[in-house]
Amino acid sequence: MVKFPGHDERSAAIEPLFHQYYPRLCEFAYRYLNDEALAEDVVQDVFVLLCERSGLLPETDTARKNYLYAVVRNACFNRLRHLKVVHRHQDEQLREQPFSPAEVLETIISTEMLAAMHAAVASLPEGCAAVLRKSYVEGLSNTEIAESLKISIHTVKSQKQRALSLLRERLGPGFVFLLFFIR
Amino acid sequence: MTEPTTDWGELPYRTAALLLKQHQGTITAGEQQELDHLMDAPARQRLLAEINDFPALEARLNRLGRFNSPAAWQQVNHKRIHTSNKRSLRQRFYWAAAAALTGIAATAWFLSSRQPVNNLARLVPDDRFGYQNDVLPGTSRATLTLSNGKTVQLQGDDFLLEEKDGTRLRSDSGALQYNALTASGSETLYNTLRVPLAGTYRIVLPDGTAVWLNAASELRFPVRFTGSQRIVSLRGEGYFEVAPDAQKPFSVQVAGDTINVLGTAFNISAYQHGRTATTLVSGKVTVAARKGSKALQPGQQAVSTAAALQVSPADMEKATAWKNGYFYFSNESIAEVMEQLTRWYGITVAYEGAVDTRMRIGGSISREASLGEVLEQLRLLSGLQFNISGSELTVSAARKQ
Repeated sequence: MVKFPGHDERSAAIEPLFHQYYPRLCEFAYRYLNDEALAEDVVQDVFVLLCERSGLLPETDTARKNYLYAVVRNACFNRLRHLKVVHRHQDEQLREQPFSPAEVLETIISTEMLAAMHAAVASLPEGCAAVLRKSYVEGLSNTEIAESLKISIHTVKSQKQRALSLLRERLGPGFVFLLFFIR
Repeated sequence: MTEPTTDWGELPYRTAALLLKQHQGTITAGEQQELDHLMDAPARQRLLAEINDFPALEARLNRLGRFNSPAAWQQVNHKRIHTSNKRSLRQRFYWAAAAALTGIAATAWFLSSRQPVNNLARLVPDDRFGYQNDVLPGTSRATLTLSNGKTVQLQGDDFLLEEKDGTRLRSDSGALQYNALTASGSETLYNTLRVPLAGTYRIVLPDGTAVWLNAASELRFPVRFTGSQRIVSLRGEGYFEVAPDAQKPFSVQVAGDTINVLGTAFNISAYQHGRTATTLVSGKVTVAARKGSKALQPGQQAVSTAAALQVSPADMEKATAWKNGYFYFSNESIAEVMEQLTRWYGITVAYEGAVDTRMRIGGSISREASLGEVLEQLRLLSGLQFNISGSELTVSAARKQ
């Protein structure tokens, strides 16, 4: 019998979790590994194992998140221990600084804050986001935006105003700097 | 995977939410009290300082945006296919090993019935570079034809087989190894190792000689060197580390030439019809070509064509980069670069409009990179535009839109 990965029940249950948490788990892993590709590899491997395993996942969202962070932390630790053969002098650091319970907790909080900010920017209403992008990323004037989106200049101004106040509300002071990564 | 032992409960999520409120200035007195209780002041300050450091915050948010879950989910499924293949092959390995131990020659029919490698598995979605899809790099894979004409698919998995004369073949993580200690008789049996497009494989012959085969290449060799000479034949490209044996000279037959060897390391590239380049890394070889015979010193390259045999100093890094896992382009024409890409990614290339294929470029990139990643570098270097659709790569000079 041929089993097609990706089409079985278990992976169907895991896939939504994956899409929900993959970016932040990678960011979390990146904090330890300092390498984007390596971080993605570690997180993907964690999910490969989750798909292959038969045990049950925790039931509540909170317990699942805790579980995923903990598994990824362990995977990072193992990966670094494996890599340490190459960088033996980092041994001491590895055992001491990161991975202490307090440090891991702080890294999770920091990652969660980042994920929330990213979500705030990403969830701007579409019209607002388009206007902001044209304005701050592409550097277009209100008139040019109005032309390219085929809307009135009044709408451009009000959309921009609305986007900015939404961001101010969601992100607090300094939000203007965040306009760089609205994609 | 070690089981996690820490359960933080709601603590990290509640703390993160409250810290963001404090940052936005919307926190209530009660919530502030709760936050102070949840986390000590130095830690709170560290976390708030992090999001007030705008350049760092911007870098982190951008990075978060780059972790793309739909593409990564494909990767997860891809990895699962590979781990499950590995598992089922391991079981076969035990079966074959047991057969060999009880003196029954293991036959290859159960392996030869496997499906051919699916090229489509390397086509993955692309959302980084704007192509219709991306193409994953080649992998360790090859087809071995045994002396009885049966073929075995090798994909970096473990197995053990026995040839008719008792020579044992073992395939283990991307390498095939021959052991003739258990063999007997004087019959010379030949095996052929064929590496497809988007593949590479390594083989250790019974005398200890190691050969790395590049994509679209082939090595034919006796499973045991019975006579007074060691002779193999090559198509495509191979890197040889020949075990020294003064009593039994080693030679490689390639496209009508013969490379005669004493213990040594060298690369032979014979992809191009009518042109064979032999590059000597260490030791000594002589090239007996259609147009005469010449000895090579380490660091030299002999190029044999129908017209001439020429020896010149070689770019060693260029000649051996593939074996060490990277592409190395030095003053290479676009056409030459594309040839290497077609072999390693198993793609075809079409040119659109007036592309100057003689344009020369230099640089290096890992062979582990996806096609999209390689093209991104080439695009920046050359200004050319690329488009991937399935296994077809289109190169054009004009900017799109």
